[in-house]
Amino acid sequence: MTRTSLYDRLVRMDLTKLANRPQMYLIEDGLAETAIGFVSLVAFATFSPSAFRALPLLVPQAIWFGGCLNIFWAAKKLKERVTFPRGGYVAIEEPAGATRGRTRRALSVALAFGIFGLIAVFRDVSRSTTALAVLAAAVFFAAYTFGAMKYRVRHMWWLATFSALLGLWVYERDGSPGDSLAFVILGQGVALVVSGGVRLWQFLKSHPRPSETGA
Amino acid sequence: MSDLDRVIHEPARLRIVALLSGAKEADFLFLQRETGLSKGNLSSHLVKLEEAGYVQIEKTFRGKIPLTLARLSAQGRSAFQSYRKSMNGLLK
Repeated sequence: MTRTSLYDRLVRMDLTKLANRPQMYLIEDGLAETAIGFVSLVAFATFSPSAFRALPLLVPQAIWFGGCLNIFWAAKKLKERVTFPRGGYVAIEEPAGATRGRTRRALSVALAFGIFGLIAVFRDVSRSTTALAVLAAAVFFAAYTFGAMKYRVRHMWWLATFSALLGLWVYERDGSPGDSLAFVILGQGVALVVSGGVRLWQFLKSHPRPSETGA
Repeated sequence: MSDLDRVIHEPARLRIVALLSGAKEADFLFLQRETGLSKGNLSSHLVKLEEAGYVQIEKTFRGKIPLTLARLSAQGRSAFQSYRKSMNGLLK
């Protein structure tokens, strides 16, 4: 099939980009990233070896879960008060009935496994070896690389590079293996909060609040 | 060329429809910023799309601020898909 430059300009590139624009707009303000970063920081604060040993079983998990709910609630409120008045409101189409049901069930099962996994892994934090920390850094690296390629966002390459360097540092460092995973979680949290903060600042700079005259 | 939907083929309306195709709904401000159209221009294009049955407009309030929400109707989505198919066929 011959594709002319007009095709590329009008059909493939522009229309696809425009159709994807609402989804890109929703992550442009960096709030989602910042929220995930804070979730990691709360995880570090509650699951780091010293904090974890000081708290009874299930209390760190409960604190972390409560923290997550509050962080996501705050991110949603900030989006309503900061992002939408500046750049406009947009909502993404949710998957239709059956797909949505399947997705929810799959997410619930994954969440349940995740929580039980956290309880099992962090019950004795000293068991979380360097290998697990390196694996976590590798998972972050893969996730950022996938995001950078799928959404074509440059800053995710920086996050991927940071994760790779963090993984290497954790692998090479001497010290308690129990701290390795905590360092990875802390590093990811700080990186995401900084990256999200920079993106929010850029968004605020490029999207001044219009006069509230309405449409 | 005669097969092309003239309502969608107009560049400004094509941008609006393409943007709405990736969203459940969007407000006037979002569409204005993303298309770069003036308020009057965007309004007139939205009216044309609404008259063609491609876009549904809902006027509401967020607090005391008027809010205009636009969403692509099923007919609009199908027209946009057909338009893309026609363009694909035309430019092969």
